[in-house]
Amino acid sequence: MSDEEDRLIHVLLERELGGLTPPDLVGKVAARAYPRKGRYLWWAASAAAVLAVAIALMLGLRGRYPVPRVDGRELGRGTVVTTQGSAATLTLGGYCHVQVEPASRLRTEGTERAEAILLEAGGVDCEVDRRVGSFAVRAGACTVSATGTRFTVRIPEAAAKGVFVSVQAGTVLVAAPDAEKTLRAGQEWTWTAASAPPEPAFRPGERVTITGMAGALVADAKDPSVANATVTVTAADGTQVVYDVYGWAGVIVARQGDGKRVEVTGVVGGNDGKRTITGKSVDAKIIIVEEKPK
Amino acid sequence: MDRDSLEALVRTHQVEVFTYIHYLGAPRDVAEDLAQETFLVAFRKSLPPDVLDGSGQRAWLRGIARNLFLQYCDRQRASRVRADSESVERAEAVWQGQFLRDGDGLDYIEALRKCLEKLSEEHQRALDLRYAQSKSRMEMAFLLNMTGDGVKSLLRRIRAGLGSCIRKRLQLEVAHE
Repeated sequence: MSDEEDRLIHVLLERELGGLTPPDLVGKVAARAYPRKGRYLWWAASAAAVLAVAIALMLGLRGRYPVPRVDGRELGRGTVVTTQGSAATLTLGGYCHVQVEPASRLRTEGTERAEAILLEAGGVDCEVDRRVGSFAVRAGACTVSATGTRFTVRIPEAAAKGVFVSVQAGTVLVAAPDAEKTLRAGQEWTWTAASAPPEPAFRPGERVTITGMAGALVADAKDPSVANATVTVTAADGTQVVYDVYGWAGVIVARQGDGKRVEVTGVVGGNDGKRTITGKSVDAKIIIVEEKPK
Repeated sequence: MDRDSLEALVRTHQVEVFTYIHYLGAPRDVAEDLAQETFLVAFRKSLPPDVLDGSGQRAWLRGIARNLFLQYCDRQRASRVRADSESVERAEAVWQGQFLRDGDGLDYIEALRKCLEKLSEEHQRALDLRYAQSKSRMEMAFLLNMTGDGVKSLLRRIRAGLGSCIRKRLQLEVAHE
């Protein structure tokens, strides 16, 4: 088959399978062929209006930093976002728009104008307005930093220790334990490391909020950093329950059926002195912050 | 050409002009710009009297599009898009001789759809990843446990199989007529 025929079928497959429909050019072509009178005056008026709004925003709204939202709902920092059958839209600081793919899990991190997420599974498509702040995605042992760009980060199903990064616009810096790479628009890179140490589920002092998910994992038993750990749960009335997490089987689950919203504070660390995150054992505290009336 | 005539011309031919320029090798955003330019050039030149029928208009617009695409390639020497007049003419020959076949290309698309139904599950999955899910080659390599070059070869083999199936089907249909 000739290259031309191959290209022809490729383009038709983009349309047939990818649903890529050609743009509607009627209005654009007609507008260019028959420019309206007063167009420049209209542009000048529009520019003045935009400038006025920008100044008003700078003067009046400074300090009102947007709260994180997923599909329009407000979130606290440290919230775990899990998608199942459908995608979700996460907005951070009003300038990072993150499309979370189905079957993904991430945690919001970062601070004002330095937003970040920890991607634990699945993938995200990110669009960042560089004029407002920075944005980073931690995935596995890699950190992907962007100051203004569109890019994708994905943890491929078939390679639990791999991280895939693709840049659609702008530039990102990918920092891996053994390499650092700058990617520009149109470039992609996959990082793998067979010997990469597992990323800890929790970090010292980290605050994590998990909201009503059916069977949301608080501690993933597959994560060695939480194996053989002791976890203290403090209920709203102050009573405490201590959970022992043994080996790989131990999982602590916040069940939606319990009607509870669970907040995790602190660190889950191994208590056998061998599988600790920080080099020392630290108890975790799970505080039930909200309980539905029975 | 008045505004109504221009809008009718664009409405009638925009899908083919855009797809054709993309097929020549232009990325989608460039193809959109060049398609607009194609119609603006047509607007400024006005239709020659001998290209008033549908196929004549299509060929005339494709000629304008080819020239604009070659000019674009000349300006973008550093880019990945490479084309010369010979390769563009070869592309036109395939478009006209295999895709349009004195028609509008719908029989080719219909044949492609039928051939897609006959693909193996493995090949359908590969096409789904590439075209429906827009996975990159490297990502597909992960998912299919192949190398990037292996994915490239696989996709090319699948398209070659589809091409062969389409040719066979179109010849069969011609034989039945």
